[in-house]
Amino acid sequence: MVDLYPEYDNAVLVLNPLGRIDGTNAKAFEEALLGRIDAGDHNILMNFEGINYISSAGLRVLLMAAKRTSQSAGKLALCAVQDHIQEVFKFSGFAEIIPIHDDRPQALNTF
Amino acid sequence: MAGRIVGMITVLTLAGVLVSAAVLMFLAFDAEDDSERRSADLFAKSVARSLLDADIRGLSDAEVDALIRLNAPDPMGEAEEDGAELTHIWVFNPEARLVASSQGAPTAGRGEITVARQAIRSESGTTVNSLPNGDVAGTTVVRNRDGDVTGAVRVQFSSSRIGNHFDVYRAEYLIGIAAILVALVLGSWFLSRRLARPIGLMVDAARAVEMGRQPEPAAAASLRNTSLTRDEYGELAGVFLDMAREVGAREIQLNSLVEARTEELSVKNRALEDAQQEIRNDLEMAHSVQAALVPSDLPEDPRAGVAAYMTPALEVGGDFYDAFITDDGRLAFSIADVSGKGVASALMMAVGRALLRSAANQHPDPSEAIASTNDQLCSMNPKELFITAFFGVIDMELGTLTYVNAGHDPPYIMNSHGTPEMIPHTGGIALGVLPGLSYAETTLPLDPDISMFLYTDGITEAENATGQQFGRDRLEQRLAELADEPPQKMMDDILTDLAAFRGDAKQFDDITCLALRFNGAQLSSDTYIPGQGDARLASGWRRMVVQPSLDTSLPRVAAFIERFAESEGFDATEVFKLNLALDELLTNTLEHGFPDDTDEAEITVALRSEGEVVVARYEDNGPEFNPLEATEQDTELELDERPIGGLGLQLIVASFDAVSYERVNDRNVTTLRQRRATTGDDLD
Repeated sequence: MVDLYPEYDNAVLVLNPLGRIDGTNAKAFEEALLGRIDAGDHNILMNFEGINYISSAGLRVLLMAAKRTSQSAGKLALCAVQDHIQEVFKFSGFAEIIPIHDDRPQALNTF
Repeated sequence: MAGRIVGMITVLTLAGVLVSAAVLMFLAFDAEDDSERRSADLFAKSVARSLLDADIRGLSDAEVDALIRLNAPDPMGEAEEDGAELTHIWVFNPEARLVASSQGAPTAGRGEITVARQAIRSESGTTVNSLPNGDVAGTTVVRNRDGDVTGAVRVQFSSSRIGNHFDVYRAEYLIGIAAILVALVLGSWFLSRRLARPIGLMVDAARAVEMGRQPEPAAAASLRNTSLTRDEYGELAGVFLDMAREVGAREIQLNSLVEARTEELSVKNRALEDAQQEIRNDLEMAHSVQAALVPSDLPEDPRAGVAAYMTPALEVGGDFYDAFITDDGRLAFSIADVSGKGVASALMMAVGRALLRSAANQHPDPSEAIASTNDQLCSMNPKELFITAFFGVIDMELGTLTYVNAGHDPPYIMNSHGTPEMIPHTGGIALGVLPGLSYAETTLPLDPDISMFLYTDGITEAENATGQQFGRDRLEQRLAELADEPPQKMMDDILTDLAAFRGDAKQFDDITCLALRFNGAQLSSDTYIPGQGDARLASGWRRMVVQPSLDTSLPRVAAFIERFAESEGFDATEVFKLNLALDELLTNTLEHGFPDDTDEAEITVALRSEGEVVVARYEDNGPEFNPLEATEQDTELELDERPIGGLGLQLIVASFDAVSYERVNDRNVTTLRQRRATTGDDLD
């Protein structure tokens, strides 16, 4: 199981996943994240401070989550993304779709 | 009954002694009496004759004195011969009254008168009296020519030399004594015959019994006869015969017992032998199995050569060595010594080797492989055995040795001209002692033409007949001489030396060694041919065979990249990109290339630095698939319009400077190139 270390800052669900999100745990990550959305959390901030690797399998889950929240008039945003991961978002065009903020307070202000 | 024969002997002897003494005394007294009597008779009658014509009544003392001179010595001369000397004479009248006596004669008393009277009255021969002073007196009647008794005369003479009479009878004594002696000898002879014969019979019979035979029938018959007599010998012979019978019976009983026991023993022996044979067969089988467990197909590679040897002290041993190419193309090798010897150690050895080999493929880092092996050994070690081990991995493309020493004798490392040096210990504890330990590893750069020699203490502690050990010094000296030799020759020479040193002395411990030579990565030419699925021989390539399971292969590929990046000094972004690219390719192959059975997938990943460029080459045997054509996804679409999936390959293309694809030998070969971040220029 993937632990998302969830916390609430006002109405925003802040998730603090650690380590890698790749083909080996993407499914678990997906279930955990979408489970939150299905449970009613539509404003989600992913704190990527502790993520040092993400593959397309992880990106796929983020994309699904972004779509679900947006459909529910909510939002998915990222913050504190490490440089080389930020590059992945850039290459994949995800940076255009999912807002990426430098730090958590700044991100929370956008909700 | 007891002591009859002893009594007989005693009585016979006593009788002999008494008889001889009596005879002797009788003869002696008899002779003395006889001599005195004769002397007295002679003296008395001689004096009486002198008085034949004399007037007894008118005799004077002087005339009597004259008679002494007249009659001494006595007329017959016999008395003189005896030494008798006439001393006194008394003359009595017929009324037995003293008439006269010689001069100095004691007064005749009542006793003398009585004797004289009796002599006169009886008119018979001489009355002889022995006197207290030892003299002898003789009294006899005196007659005239007519034969009338005219009185009596008493003579006294000394008999001091009377003992000489004994000589007269010497011959008689000797004859008597000789007769007694003869009788004694005859008696003893008879007795000894009676004593000795049954003893001799019994001695012979006892010998026969002692030798386990029955006495000879003749001897037995004699003994039976003897046993009928009622003396000690009869009793002894009877007892002896009983005993011989008893002994014979026991002998027979014992013999049959011994036979029975011998039969039992031989049955048991046969069973033991069978059991032993079974064990021997088992051990021989175990020996063969163990011999097969020790790898015989050592890796062959232009960059490194390995030779290894193991011979157990018993049928099976507790040492092992191993050398193999890991799934990611590195040369792993190990040597180990299980505590103890025999079957338990051999089982432990087999388990240890298998665990370590499997761990080596699972964990790229030797320290983790060793830690994992240790944990598993600890969980299956009821006998508290432990394994000292040296485990090393040579990256033949980078020229590095990464190793862990878990309590083993440090191996030696030698350059072609240098002296052997011990590979520094990493301070690890032997395997199987404590679970959960972490082990330290050390990485050394390997120069070309480096040799290593790994051994177990069966070599250094081998003893010769005088108890001297082969020792490290001898080993180091030989290794220095052999430093430039190929591993097989190095090992053979060491083993030959060891055998010569040991001579006929027993082998106490398993003897195991492994010699390795690293020729250097740069010596090989670039023989990497894309699509042939074997990058092992390529110079500068690091290659890894990827297992077709995402869960296990992703972390291993990551570790593979990590090691490569570390040695090349890559930064985190470069590592990340390599990880991402290979991850995406691998995921794609497993999800789309082999949707039904991933077991058929053959996937390899290879990495190489070409100057400032990192090259990654990914191969799989799936259906033809060009990732470049599959990545036509529009990254400019809005969120709602973006399809989910298909991103990964696009990421690869986007993050690498150059991506090329070719289909070779039914394999998809994708090559990625990326200039190192420090240079900044794109390859496009």
